Amino acid sequence: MLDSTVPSIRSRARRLVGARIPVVVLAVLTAAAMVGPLFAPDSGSQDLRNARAGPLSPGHLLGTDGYGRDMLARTLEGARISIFVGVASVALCLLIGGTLGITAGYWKGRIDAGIMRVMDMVLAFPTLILALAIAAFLGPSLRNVVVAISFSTLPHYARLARATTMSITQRDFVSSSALLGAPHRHILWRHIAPNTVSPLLTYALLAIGMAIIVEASLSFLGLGVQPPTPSWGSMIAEGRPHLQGAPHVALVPGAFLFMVILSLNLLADSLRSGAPAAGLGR
Amino acid sequence: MTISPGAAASPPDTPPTPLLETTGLTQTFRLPTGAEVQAVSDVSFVLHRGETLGLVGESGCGKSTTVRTILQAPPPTAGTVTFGGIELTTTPPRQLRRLRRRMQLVFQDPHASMNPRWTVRDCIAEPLQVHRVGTSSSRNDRVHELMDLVGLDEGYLTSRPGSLSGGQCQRVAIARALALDPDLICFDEAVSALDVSIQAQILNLIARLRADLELTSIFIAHDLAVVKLVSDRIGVMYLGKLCEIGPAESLYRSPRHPYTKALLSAIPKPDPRHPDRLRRVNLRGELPSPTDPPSGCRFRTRCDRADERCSLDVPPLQTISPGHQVACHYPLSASAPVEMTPLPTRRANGVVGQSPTR
Repeated sequence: MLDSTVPSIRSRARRLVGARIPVVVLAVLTAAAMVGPLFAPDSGSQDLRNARAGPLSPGHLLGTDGYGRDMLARTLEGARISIFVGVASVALCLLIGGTLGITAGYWKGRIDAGIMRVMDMVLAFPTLILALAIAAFLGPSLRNVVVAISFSTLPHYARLARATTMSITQRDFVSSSALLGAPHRHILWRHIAPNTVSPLLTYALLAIGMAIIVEASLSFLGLGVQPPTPSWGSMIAEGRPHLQGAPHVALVPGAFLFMVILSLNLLADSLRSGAPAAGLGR
Repeated sequence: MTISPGAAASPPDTPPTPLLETTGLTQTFRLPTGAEVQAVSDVSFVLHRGETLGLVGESGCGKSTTVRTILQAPPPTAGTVTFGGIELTTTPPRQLRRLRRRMQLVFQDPHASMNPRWTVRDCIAEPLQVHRVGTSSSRNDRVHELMDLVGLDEGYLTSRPGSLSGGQCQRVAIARALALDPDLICFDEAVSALDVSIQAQILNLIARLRADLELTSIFIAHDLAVVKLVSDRIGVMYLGKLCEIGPAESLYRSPRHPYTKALLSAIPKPDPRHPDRLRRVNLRGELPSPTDPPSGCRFRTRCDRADERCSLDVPPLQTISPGHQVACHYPLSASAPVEMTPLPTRRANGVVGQSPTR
């Protein structure tokens, strides 16, 4: 009795931690980021008399920063930026990288060689360094951060899409469709693209976390969203000088960043190992 | 349900029109090592309307490649394929795509040949959709009709291929191949991946469809008993060459090529001690590498009749009796027919499995 129940409880717990808790954390945070700024105090209102108030001070649940702005409001505002950058850059990558990869994997030959050599060139630079260079070159703005992150992570999507496409193209149902006289358009849209989507989406979930970290890094270095718009990275940077006296200014956005990345990674892990998300394995 | 494999083989009164004719069909592949393999070498045959040609031979002898080459996927490196009077090898791609609705292929692995994300309905309707046949409601009617034709319950229409058994899946594949009323259907090892009992059901289905729809087909299998059941004529291949081709009856009764005889003797018999049993011919040696086939007759290294001539001259495919051709310098004589039991499949006609409902 005990023998049979113990592992099941344990595996259940693992599944719970593996998928449900991260989902709840992310859902609550996303909801808070969307509606929170409506209720929390104005994130922009400065009150220098009340600067760096500690957490749980009256009217400021998470305290205030160096300009006396409410930390909770700013953190939620920052969450919006992080979520937007994460989702937008990954969506852009899925679209462009997916298309490039599928094109390369399906047509092979010169088209493949051409696309993939360019991707290899991009891949030769460390992601963060390349994103930094692009962001610095384009000038700091929300849109440019998205462009910088998308461009520097594009090869990963293209490679994954290409590999998946190549293995799907080998499968009988694709040859079968071709032997029916189906045009390439039909094969690409009806057979290849739908079967490439799920491995790409699984990867994308993990990549959102990556994109959020890169965004935070760029903002930390002052190359991201410009003040006074709050971003987790720039908030941590602002709090850095006060780590001694008012650690919460840096720690609050840091903790949120940590929580989001951990949740996304756990979720991606559970998707990869649990559900046959790839949709290809039989 | 009764199957009479020999019925369609009876000589027709009028000379039948060939649906398909291949001459000197050759398919050469280049290996990554640079070596060239002639997977199909100089294969010529004629397929008449309403006829089923069985192709047999051991793994890697080029049966599947022959069929793929006929279907121009990929096109042959040499030789011609005439289909319904049209030369396929020189047909431009766009026109060839339109012609594809008249020739269909059923794959060996029924699950792999269906998109796992599609429903059975999508799979069967795909050919109609690709060739823009009818409206969506008439396509739907046709899908129902086809489901009925291959004996699948309509409850499966919304199932995914993954939830069907191999036999059910192969029925879907056959329904799909029949959707456009093709002139030619090729079955590439269509029953090899199935359990024996399911094999019998699918074979019965194919035999019934063949009779009802007057199908013209090429049927590939490595199981001779299976091929016998559905074929009017049989072609035997060895290392990319056609060694013998002839009416199923006479080829089984008196094989003229030593390789055919060896193959036939390998069919397992229900009673090994039966006096009429064909003596087992054990071939010596191994199958030579296809990258470096023997000179002259490709079978000579394993043939006990081979002499110097066999290593010098490639034996051409010669007509040895009406409709029966053999590629051998020293064919076995027909006057001394090989002693054989009547094939088990003959006796088993109509009792191979139950009438297919599922």
